[in-house]
Amino acid sequence: MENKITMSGLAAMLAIATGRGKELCEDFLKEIFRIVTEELERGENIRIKGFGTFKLVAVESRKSVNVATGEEVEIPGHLKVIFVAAKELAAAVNAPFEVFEAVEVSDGVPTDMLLEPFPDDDDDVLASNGDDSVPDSDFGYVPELDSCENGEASEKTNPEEDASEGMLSEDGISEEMSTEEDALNEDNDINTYGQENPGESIDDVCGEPKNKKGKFGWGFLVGFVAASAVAALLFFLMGPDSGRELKEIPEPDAIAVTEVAVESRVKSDSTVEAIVDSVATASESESSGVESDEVPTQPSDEPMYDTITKTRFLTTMAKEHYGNFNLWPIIYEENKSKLGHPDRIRPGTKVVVPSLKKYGVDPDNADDIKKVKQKGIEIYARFR
Amino acid sequence: MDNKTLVETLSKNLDISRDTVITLIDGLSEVVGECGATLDSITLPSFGTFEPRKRMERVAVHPASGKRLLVPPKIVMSFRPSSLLKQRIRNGE
Repeated sequence: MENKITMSGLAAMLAIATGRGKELCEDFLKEIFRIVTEELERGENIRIKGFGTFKLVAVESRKSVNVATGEEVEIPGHLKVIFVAAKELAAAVNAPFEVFEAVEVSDGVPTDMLLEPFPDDDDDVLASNGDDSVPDSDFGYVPELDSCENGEASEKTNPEEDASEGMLSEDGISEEMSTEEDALNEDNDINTYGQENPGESIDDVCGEPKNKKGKFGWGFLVGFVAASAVAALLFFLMGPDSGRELKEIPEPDAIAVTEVAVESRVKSDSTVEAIVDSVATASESESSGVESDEVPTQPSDEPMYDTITKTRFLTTMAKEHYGNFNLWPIIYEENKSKLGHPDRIRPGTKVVVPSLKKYGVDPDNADDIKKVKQKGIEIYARFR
Repeated sequence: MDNKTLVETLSKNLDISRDTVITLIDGLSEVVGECGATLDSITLPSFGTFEPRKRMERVAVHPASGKRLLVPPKIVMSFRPSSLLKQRIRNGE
């Protein structure tokens, strides 16, 4: 673990693996990497089958600062070498985790719980160093914590020996979590995990459990109250409907739509997602996204008006006027002064449907569509 | 340079058969893979370092479907060229 292996050590391992002599292995290693160096110098990429490819990429010049003098300096454009591992090598390197796959997370599961650290294995591949104390700067989101050491100790009460025990399946996680429940806090950092910190080691979060032992019940209670308050509020507002519902079945029962919309809003807003109705989840995830079919009914050139209703969303209008529902952000942007969250536009809101030319968007150009979609993501981001 | 040429060159320069070369290359992949699985780095003088890096599991959001995915942790092998190599590349072509 985290050893530094020298050329000599590598040669020895190679000798054992191939059954050849160490000297030959050393010569081989020296020679092969000499050749790689030469090729790269010549400006050539080089591929070693089963191992990987050393490639050259061009790097643009950029402005920087001379750290000593503080004056600006330009780093000229140049070439740099990157290594892309071959599939076989990548699989061998990832051997401890090869059994895992990405798993879809249903909306009912609170993401923060999933990202709590697992109890340490004896041969814990994921722990960084033996260092138990964690500097404050590593914690992006949890302000005051007990020392990590205590956190790890409490986790070890339930040692999970086998890393491949399907820990990462959802069932495994809920099982895991129930034993860890006492130590873990539910209401902690639910929002902040929106900003993932993939680079952080598991040790970074291990201080959490110890701190929040007593507060678990409170968290649940607060969450429940909050959720019921939100639900009540949303039922109160049930008249005004969502402005844009991409995932909805096209001609649904109006109330059913609103309810699902309400649920989806609860999901997206609520900080305690555990309370959300799983039925709504099922129906929401089942209704397949209305995939864009290029049926331009009226590729309109003149600006027009349209009105949001319970069954007419921005996407509906985009589909009708532009031939592609993905172009809804264009209508949104045109009217953004009177629109708030795109999914919550009051029925009856009149919007201007601008001509595509005004935004320079060509409905047949895949890149343009991509840009507009990106805009959509941005718009949502404004309301997160 | 493609793999075939590399094998030929090595065979010639080291005065060994092509089969031996292939065996050695496969062995290299195997050994480096094993080191990566145990998070050990390999430093080759005047060339660079092969560093395994762990990537923690994370919740990714599929931008199109909006579905949330739990991506499992993984180890990847990265390469850091040595200063000498970087210089030679800069000065070369």
